[in-house]
Amino acid sequence: MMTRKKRRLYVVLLALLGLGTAAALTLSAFEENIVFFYSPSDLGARPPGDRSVRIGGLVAEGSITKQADGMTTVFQVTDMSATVPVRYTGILPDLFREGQGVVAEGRLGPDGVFVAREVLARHDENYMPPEVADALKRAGQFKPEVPGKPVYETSTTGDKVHATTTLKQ
Amino acid sequence: MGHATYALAMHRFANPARFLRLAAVVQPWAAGIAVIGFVAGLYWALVASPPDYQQGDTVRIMYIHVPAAWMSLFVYSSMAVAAAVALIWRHPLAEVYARAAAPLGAGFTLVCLATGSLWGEPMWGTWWVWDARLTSVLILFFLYLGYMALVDAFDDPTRGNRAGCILLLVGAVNVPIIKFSVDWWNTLHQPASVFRMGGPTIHADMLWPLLALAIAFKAYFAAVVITRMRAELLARKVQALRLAQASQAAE
Amino acid sequence: MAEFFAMGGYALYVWGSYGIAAVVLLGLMLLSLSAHRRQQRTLATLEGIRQPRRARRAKAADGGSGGELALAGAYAGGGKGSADCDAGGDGGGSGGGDC
Repeated sequence: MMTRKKRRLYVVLLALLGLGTAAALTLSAFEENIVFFYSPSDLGARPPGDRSVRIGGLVAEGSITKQADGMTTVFQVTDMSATVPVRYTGILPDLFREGQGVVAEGRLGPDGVFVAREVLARHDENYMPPEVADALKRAGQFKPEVPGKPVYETSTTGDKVHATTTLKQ
Repeated sequence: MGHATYALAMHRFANPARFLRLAAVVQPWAAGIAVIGFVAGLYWALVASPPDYQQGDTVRIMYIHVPAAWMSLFVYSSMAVAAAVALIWRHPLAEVYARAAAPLGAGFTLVCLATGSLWGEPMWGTWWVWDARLTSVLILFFLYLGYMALVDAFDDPTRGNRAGCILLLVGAVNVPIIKFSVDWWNTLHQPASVFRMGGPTIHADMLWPLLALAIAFKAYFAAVVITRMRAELLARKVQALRLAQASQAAE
Repeated sequence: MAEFFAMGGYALYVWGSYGIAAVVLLGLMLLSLSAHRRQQRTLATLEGIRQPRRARRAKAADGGSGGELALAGAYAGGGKGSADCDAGGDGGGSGGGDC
């Protein structure tokens, strides 16, 4: 009786192990397709040509300008090492602002300007009341420009962990 | 604990009388904690907590969205463990649990997807995107539905339960994918805020409503899943009685 | 008060989220309770047909043959789940304990 249960246990464990390996291999093989957006650095390293792609990064501080038609916005998307100018005509999400994460879908023009068909805002994992954010800003400890980094946390381990996350983005 | 004692401990719960006695003790507590958790959590979430510095009042959606997301993963994981126990040790209560928990897990996943969509539209600017996090959670929802359809698709309930358990174990691969999708790939969805290295990145005023509602969701689940397990056990008894009556009538 | 309901202009999204959660969670709870009650009633009817003699004897002895399940009835007194044990009452001594 015991041995049959044990055998079933091993069969289940082996099956799970095999399944997990298969899933891991499949996911790493399709890595390219699972990535939702590319960073401006990726764009430089692997030019997409005429393909429609998504780029993600932060809206660079002081880069947003409204065109004369009132509907077109030009801004810069940056990942701190590379920057891409983006042009978009349409209504922007409420969270779209300088220093915030953004994902834009469109094509890279021959002039190096990324013409976006759709712009989505990406928010980070920090949540706090406005007064706390203001206090941090006054104290000069507010650094939202590094994505993935907690803006009010000073522990060194947190910084280290987030340095790697930032690199990936 | 040795193998033999462990197996023995497991089998003590095979007796529904023992389970029902335990359930009778646990259920009133779970229901009470759920009520308190919902009252306190909703007050904190909707009234007492501040709006977010970036997202304003939409941050209040988080207090529903995140506990629902946690529960969708927790319920599925517990069902997968139950499926393993059912397949390996043939424990009857494990199947009863998986069947009872599935609609609740599907409900939590539906709430997670719907509230996420309602949060995404004003903040991201879209109801839905096919990024790794959103897609893997949608797959989780279909796994719940698939399990519920599969266990009832066979004339022989034993075979239905067996097939369902195998599906649950296969689908368990999706659980770590959901959890780590935001770290492994670029996603529109932001990374984890609470269960992450370096501690939570949510201000304490916003952490309390989140934790209160998370406890309320879990207690709600415990209370309702016990009722569903009771109904399932009664249904099995009804089935057995009907069979007995049919054979009596044939005599 | 109006400001509270406006949710900073996001009323539809915030209240919509809480509304969906309430509908799903309350709906699942009510469905579960009614399914439980339905099974209790079915069982009571079945046992009433099957064992009239034994049930009568058991009633005389200790007032119920619910036996191992009888203790489970104790939970119904607490919490928000409204008393779902009374439904079994019409089954007489044999089914009453199985909630």
